[in-house]
Amino acid sequence: MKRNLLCTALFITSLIFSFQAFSQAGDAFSYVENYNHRLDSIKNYQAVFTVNSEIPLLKIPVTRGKMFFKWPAHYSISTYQFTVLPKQKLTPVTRFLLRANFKTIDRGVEMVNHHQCKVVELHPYDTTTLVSQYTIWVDVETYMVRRVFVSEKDGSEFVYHYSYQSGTDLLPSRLFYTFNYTLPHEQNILLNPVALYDDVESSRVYEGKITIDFTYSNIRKK
Amino acid sequence: MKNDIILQVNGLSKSIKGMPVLSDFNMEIFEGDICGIIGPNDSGKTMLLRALTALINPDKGKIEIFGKKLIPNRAAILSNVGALIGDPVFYNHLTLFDNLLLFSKYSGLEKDNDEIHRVLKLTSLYDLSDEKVDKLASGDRKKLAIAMAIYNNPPLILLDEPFSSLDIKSLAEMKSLLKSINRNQGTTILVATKRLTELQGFINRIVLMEGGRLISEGNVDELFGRSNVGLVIETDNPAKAMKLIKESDLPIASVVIEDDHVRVSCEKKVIPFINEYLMVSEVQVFMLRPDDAIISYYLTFTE
Amino acid sequence: MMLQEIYKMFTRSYAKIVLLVIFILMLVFSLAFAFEGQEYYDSLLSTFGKGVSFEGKLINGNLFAFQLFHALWLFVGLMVIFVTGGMISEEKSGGTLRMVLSRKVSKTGFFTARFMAAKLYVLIVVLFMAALSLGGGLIIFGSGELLAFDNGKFFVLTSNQALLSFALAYLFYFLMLLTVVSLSLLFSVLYKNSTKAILSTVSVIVILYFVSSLDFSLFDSVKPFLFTSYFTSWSQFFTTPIDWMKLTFDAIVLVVHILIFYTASVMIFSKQEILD
Repeated sequence: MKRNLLCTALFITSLIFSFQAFSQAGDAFSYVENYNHRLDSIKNYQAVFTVNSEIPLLKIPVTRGKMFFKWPAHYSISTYQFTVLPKQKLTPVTRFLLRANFKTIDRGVEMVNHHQCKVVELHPYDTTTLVSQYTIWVDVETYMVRRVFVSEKDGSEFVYHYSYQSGTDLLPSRLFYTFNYTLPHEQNILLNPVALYDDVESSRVYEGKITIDFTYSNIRKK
Repeated sequence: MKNDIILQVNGLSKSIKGMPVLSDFNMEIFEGDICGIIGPNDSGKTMLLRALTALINPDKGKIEIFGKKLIPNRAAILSNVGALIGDPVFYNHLTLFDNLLLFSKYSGLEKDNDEIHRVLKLTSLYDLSDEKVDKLASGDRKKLAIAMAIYNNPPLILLDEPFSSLDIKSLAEMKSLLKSINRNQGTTILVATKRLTELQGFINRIVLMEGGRLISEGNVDELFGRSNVGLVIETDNPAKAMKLIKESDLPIASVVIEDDHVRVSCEKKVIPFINEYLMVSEVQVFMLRPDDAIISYYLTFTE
Repeated sequence: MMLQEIYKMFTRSYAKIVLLVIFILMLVFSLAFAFEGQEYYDSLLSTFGKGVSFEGKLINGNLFAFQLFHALWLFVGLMVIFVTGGMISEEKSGGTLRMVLSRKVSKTGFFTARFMAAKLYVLIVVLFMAALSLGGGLIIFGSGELLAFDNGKFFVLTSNQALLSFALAYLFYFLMLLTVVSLSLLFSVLYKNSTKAILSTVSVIVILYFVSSLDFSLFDSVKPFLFTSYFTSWSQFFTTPIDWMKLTFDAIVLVVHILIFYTASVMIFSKQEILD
């Protein structure tokens, strides 16, 4: 009897939570705003990070560095070696998103690493920008961004995967970044100075993966 | 009594691009000889010396030096030979001292500053020892080549035209030097030249060459006895004198013009007739003097 | 006898001129590198700028030495030919060969001594290059990771890795220069005129290098046998991972060529008559 009661209570609770989630899907972009608001609660922190890259055109050993953050948006990075980082360095992509105007399209819910995420597509109103669309996967439970996909008009694609140590951490413990784009021949430089002829391909695919692991310390909240 | 044979050449033949430069050449040089190898240009003197130093490979024939065959014993033989073959050339960017040092090393000798200074002094080049060779006059180059040849007192010295470019004083000095080396150390010296006058009173053995062939060889004293005498005639018109003598019925072995003089090779008894004939023919004879027997001898073969 | 040959070589003005020219080339390059190096590398890396960004010091002594190596390797090779191409022919035409060979020294011994002197000269040139570019670079621009590139790919090497790569690359480059020098000595043996010997060496190298560089399959079967196909193999020491199998093979090919050129030179030279 008690067992039946417990099961009923759990079912009702999950229904309530589900309802709550669906009610927020109507304003998809609010997920992003929510996440950034949560991020804004952090006054400063520092992190040690390790960069591991797999880029076919750029072989680079594992490197380490330190990152310092001070509210509102002061990031500083110091590395012990020459290091490759994602395009946006270590600034969260979502901060940038808040400053632009987009047409928002709700693409429903998808699972990302066993987490239910709201998928939001953002199309910039500004037609001069290179970006054709952003897609963001926001955890429906924690509002934390788990994935960002950036697509540009020339077909370039950039994906940021964020992993968190626990459901309560605001700052990602790992950023997994992939990029894939093609440059036409005239934009390629001759990178083979020891050859007599131009052996640069007519168009070259630039692709790769960068994994950054963070260990935080001195996190201070407002 | 004859000394040991120090150098022997048998049936030596060599052709270059189909042209014979040495033909069945034979020669014997005895220890202690100063031998003059005499012949006009392209007579094969230099080629013979090149063959004696293994700079060229003979087509036929045998060369023995110090009683050993040259080809398998080249290094052992040449370490005891001082040679000047062809025009003397050196490393112009180096000093006289350094050139001597370098060439002594090529001869397999250890550095010996005293020996370098000794040969430089003997050849009157000591004051120039720190000068670079490119500053040397051609006569001094010859002296340096002689210094190299006599370096470390080799038992055999081969010299190709060693006295050309030397002034009269230097010529006398160098001949005297070589003569004293020959006398004091018993060094055998071979001198190849086309200028017979250079060897006057210097050689005791003679090898005459022409067209790569041996014309004659032997001791000067022996040869002198069986040859004509030499006569140098100084006249107002050497060309006319030569023509007259040539066309005359006089028994003349040879007649040539050399250095504005007429050189005649003939029997001693003919000399008064030549003098008379020229006077009758209105050629003024200023002087009649005896010539070196070697020259006369040579002329009898080359005319 | 090798000592005499080395002495003779280093007392020659043009052996020193070549070192002076290398020094001047390095000086010119270091000026350009100091003023425009960063800009140059920014432009090089700009192709990645679309997807990634970079953190850290890029302009350093290792990069300077690496760039200088790429800029100079061919010029230094040609300069060395100017010195070694006349090593035998000049002695022939000048008559000193006749003077030398009328002594105890054998032709094989003489050639080998010259060959060894040329080897030592090349070693000194390479060490001079290394000392000036790497030593000088590290003193002036400091140490750091090396951003190397080869065949369109970038490689970031730690400073320790870079030093090892430089040592191996200079060693391979020495081997490559020895091949060039061996060929130049072969032509020096063949010709009396040193200009002819130098021009022949340069011509053969230019033609073969051109064939090696052509990307037509017609020459694919020939390329592995051309020593010029391995001229730039030294640059692969700056890649990761290093393809040891390939580089060992490349080095063996060069050594075989050196031996062939040396043997041919000795055989021809020992049969030659000194007629000048």
